[in-house]
Amino acid sequence: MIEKDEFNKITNLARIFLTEEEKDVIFNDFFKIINYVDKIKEVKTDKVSLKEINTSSSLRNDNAIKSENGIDLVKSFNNKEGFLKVNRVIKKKNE
Amino acid sequence: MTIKDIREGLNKNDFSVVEITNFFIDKIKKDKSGSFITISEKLALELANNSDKDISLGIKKDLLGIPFGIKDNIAVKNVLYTAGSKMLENHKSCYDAEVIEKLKKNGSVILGKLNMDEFAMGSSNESSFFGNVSNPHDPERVAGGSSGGSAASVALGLSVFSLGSDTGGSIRQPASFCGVVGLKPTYGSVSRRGLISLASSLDQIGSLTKNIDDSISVFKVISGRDPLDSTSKETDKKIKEIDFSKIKIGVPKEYFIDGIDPRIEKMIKDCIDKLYKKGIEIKEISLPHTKYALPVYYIIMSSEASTNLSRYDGLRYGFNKKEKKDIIDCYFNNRGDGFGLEVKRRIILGTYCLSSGYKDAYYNKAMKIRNLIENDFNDAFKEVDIIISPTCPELPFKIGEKNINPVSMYLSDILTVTANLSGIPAISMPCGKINNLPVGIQLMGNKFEDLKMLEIAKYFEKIWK
Repeated sequence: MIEKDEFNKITNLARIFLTEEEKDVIFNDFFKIINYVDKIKEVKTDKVSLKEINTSSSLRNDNAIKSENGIDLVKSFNNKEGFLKVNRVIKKKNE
Repeated sequence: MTIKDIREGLNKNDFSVVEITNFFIDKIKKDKSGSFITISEKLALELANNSDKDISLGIKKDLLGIPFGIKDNIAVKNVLYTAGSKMLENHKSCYDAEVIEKLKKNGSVILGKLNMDEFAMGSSNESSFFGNVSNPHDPERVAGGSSGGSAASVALGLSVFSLGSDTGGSIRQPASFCGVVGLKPTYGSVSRRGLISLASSLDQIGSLTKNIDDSISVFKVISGRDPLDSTSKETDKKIKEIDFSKIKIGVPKEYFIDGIDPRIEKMIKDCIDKLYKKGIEIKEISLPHTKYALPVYYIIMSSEASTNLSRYDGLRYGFNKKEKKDIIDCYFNNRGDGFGLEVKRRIILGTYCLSSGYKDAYYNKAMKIRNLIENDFNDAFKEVDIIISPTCPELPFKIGEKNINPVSMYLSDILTVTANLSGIPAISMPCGKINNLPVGIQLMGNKFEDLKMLEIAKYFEKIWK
């Protein structure tokens, strides 16, 4: 059973704002879901390895290539005069 | 209309590609099912014009001039790319997905983007920011999800075929609910480049079609290695001769569970009986870890989703709420307002499963059980060629019926998730109706034997008609 404090810590980690109503709904659902997935505890896996996903080599030579969609990428930003505008990270001195 | 019908019509000059495209666009504009989010009329007519020119030059391509729809989590350059979410409501793609590049080269015509559960999280198409998709056979019922728009559009004749994505059954379940064929290929046989990631080790692009022949045609075009997707592999495009008298069918006892609608169980068993009467060997098999598949799926899927969706913060693209104090405030508010309830629920679940103190007990444990599930299938395919089961344990349910309890919604996927966990190909095809609602039967094949599975499905299609 998950405690409310722990639940709040998880939503903080997920960086998602929840209204009070959403918190109640999701917290109650969470209990049901965790109860259901806890079924996996029945399975003995001491001698089982983790599943690996096979990938082919994706390495290529580190050559600069002209990107066809570089300009298009910039268009999809919150764009100001061709620059990407982001929110201020460091607070101003008097704040 | 099937791919064969359109090809014949084009060959006989009954209509041009532009004419048939306009026919579909007019139909889509009048449609009330909610299947389409975006109609790309200008692009469709541009591609149709090019296809007509190719036809006049005598160029032959498999899907030349065939109009199709695309689930809205697959990138089409300069077209809205929303994943059914407010977070990407006004976002346009700046590139084509690999499957779209291939279909464009083949002369296919893009009609528009199809409605879906938000970020492909759902089994009913009720979580889309753009509204529900209603079932073509009963508008008070769901079309299934998350590829609800993809399935409904083919069933309604709004597109000849459509592309969807399947992470835990999101092509096959809506295919079953809408009475069409839905193919989830082997993991790695179709490039995921340009597919908005939900769970990267489970996602696969596939097709929804009217029949198995069309499914084969689409698979041959979209499959194959993509150097920009390191999980993709070369696929065999040649169909080998199959001696149908020697194929063996496996029927897993764990798939005929308590809780399955008895009418569906009877219908599936009648289908298996028809195969037996044709002299096909039927063998009961066991996939012993089946009962753990759904909890394993939800742990792995939500863990991977929580990581994949962490990129949506509104800074570079997507929903961006104007009022905020600083960067952290920005993350919380953009994600809080941009995501719907089901997405938030799964991100939080995934964050929990990956968090310190729980990762071993949940995520790592689930990945080990996943190995056991895959081994069950490896062992089964040493004895049989194809495994048969129902696609869904239930008929299409009423809109709103399952919104109260998320676990009851998740149980819709109980028979489909194993194919995603083990990476094998699986297809749902219609096998009858109950109270005018379609029922789907699922075939599963061995890894990278997609064409073998499809040929067997085509043979069964004739027996079950």
